Amino acid sequence: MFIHNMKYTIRSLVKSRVSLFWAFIFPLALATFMYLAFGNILSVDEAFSPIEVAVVSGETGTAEETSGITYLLDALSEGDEPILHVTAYSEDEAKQALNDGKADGIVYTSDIRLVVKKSSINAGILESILTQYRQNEAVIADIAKAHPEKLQELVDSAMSRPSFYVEKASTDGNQNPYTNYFYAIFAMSCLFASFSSLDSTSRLQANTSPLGIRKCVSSGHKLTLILSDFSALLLVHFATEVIALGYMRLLGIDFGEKYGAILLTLLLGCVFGLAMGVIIGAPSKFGYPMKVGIAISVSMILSVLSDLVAAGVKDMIEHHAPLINRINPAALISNCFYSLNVYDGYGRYFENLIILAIESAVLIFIGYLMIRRNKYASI
Amino acid sequence: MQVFKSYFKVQKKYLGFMFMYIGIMTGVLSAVTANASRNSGETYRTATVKFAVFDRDKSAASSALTDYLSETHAQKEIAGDDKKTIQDELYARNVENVLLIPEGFGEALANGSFSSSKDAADNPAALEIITIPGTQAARYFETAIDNYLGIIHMYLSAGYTVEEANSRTAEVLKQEVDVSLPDGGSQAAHSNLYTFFNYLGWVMVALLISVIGPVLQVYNKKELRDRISCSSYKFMNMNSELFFGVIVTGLGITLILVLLSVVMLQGAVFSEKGLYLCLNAVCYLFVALSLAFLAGKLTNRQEHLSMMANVISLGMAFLCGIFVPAEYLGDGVVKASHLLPAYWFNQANMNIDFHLGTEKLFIFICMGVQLLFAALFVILGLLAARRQAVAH
Repeated sequence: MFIHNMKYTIRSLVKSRVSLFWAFIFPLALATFMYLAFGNILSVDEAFSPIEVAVVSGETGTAEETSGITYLLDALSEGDEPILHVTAYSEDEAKQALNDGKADGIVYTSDIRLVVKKSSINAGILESILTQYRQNEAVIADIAKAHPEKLQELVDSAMSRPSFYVEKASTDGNQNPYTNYFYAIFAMSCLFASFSSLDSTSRLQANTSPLGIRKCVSSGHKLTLILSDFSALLLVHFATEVIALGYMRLLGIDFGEKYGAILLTLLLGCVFGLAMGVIIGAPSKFGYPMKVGIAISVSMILSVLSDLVAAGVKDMIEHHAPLINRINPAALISNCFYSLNVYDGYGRYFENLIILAIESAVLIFIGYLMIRRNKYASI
Repeated sequence: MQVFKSYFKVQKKYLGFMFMYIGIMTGVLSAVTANASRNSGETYRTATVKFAVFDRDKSAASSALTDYLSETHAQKEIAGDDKKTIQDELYARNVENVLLIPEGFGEALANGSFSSSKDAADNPAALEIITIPGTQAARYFETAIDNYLGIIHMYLSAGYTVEEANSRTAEVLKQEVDVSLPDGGSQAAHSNLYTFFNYLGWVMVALLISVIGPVLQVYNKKELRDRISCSSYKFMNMNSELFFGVIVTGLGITLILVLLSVVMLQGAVFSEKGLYLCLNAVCYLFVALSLAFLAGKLTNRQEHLSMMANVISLGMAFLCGIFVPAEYLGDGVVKASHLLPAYWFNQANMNIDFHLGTEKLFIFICMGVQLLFAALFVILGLLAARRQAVAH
């Protein structure tokens, strides 16, 4: 009975295009769009690459190789990790290069001034370099005036400047904040599993569907029917999540290497989504479209709060109302992914997973109470 | 005009549904526009990075360094200096650098006992910068620290005391260079007007397919189609009246959206830029209407329309520069998006916002391409309708 019912539940789910679309195709499509849109954003927006500088060096239009500033700019564009990429232009060419986006800034070496297209970090770095040059000139002039005998020591100290800082990465994991969107897609698709279970719950009850009437008069135990339905739906939805994970991994999205823990998160996420669907599907007062509407609204609101459409929402909640993140299942799923990818240990991961498991257990229990042993005076 | 009249009778039944969608979409539009940048970009402002400091040295040198950094960059407070807090804050970009000033830093600076090693074990008094390596923000912050400490180091090497070096450095740091934007200024960020109208590229497609599609589906019902087919009404007459009805609905919805922009943007739409953006929105309205017409002809189920509306509107919004600025998209994505009408809508909006004076011809070309796309979708819709009729 268990296997028979499970088999037919799987068959009917696979044939339900609407459920499959929202739980499987839509998250994959969304992931693809986001990947194509955000794939380049970190390298363009944040990663440092040599700043393109157009140098204008007076009326001749060629760099004054003897001047200090030209020497500095050239020095900064050499080596293994150059800061600048310098090109000499005439004034008109430089303006054109700036306008076309081929240069981040124009440096006029004759009077050491800078023209940039917009305020940006790269413009700030260029400004710092020129300011530093001006300030070093002032230091040398200042010291030369008061202590001319110290000039040689000064030159020596400038040539052998020590290292004032050491740079450390906060984690070896993925630091791309746009990955949050993909964590949120998994959270959303797990919650979308509720569409299938609310449909299935409707089909289990005699007062909500003709199939429910047939099932209620069958000899099968209600618990067997419930468990077989739930197992079938869990199997299909977990499989779709695994396929989605594989697909996103193929796209190159970095979820880390802790795949066992990731699969456990997805499994529990699906359990929660299905349990949520049972609760929504059980009341007979609402029609099917209303139930689907409730499931979409609840899933979307919870997912939006965990960064589905705008980065920073979850973090804002974490700073102002952290309790919401502790109980929002979408945030718990997203935080599990985040913890696995960024932290070294599993402490924060298990904290999120255990809360998700407790919430799922509570929902399943309530759902079971709602649909077991129903008696109908008249159907 | 019987079909035209009947279209509005059917539309009336979906009014509640339509206003619910309009309400949701205007809510989203309001939130997005309210959050948009208000940077007019007419003058240059030195960019800053966000950082947090944990000073374990508490010396005059460490205080002076912290003061300098807080004047030139944006200092933020974070909950603690434990690893997880720093990881969380860096990941969320609440701070871009965390500076740990170790005990003994001030003494090492005065004694000149820093080594040239980048390894903390060999350079114990060196500052620790926890950051995301390889980012512009890390490089910028490190440049600032190098600049400041380099000047102090030069004074100390020349025999000045720490106090003298600090005060001389403070004087020297007043030296600045002239930084400006190109002649006539430069618009660094898009205007709110642009943000509002550009988001219409997503809103109009999602909204119009969702509210017009179900009305058109009524005419796909077998019984109704049979009745109309056996009447004297020509196929083209019926469809042109339907499309005319669709246009009236679309213009009504666009009018509501434009009125919303007038309220939200305090009349900014009454300008040359606003006029061109409205004109471009009307061109895109035809694209959205033609897509709704096509979708309504392709499927008989309302839930399928919801799928189409979401995939088409979100897909074009992500790939054509509506959700993510076009300059961040990869070359391949940009090339592929030339085949989508939203790309031309976005290109027209960008040029209206930035280069209205010089790129009018290109703006009109973009509008023309959108109308061609709309014509293509209408033809495809008519072909689908004809095919249904023939199959029947």
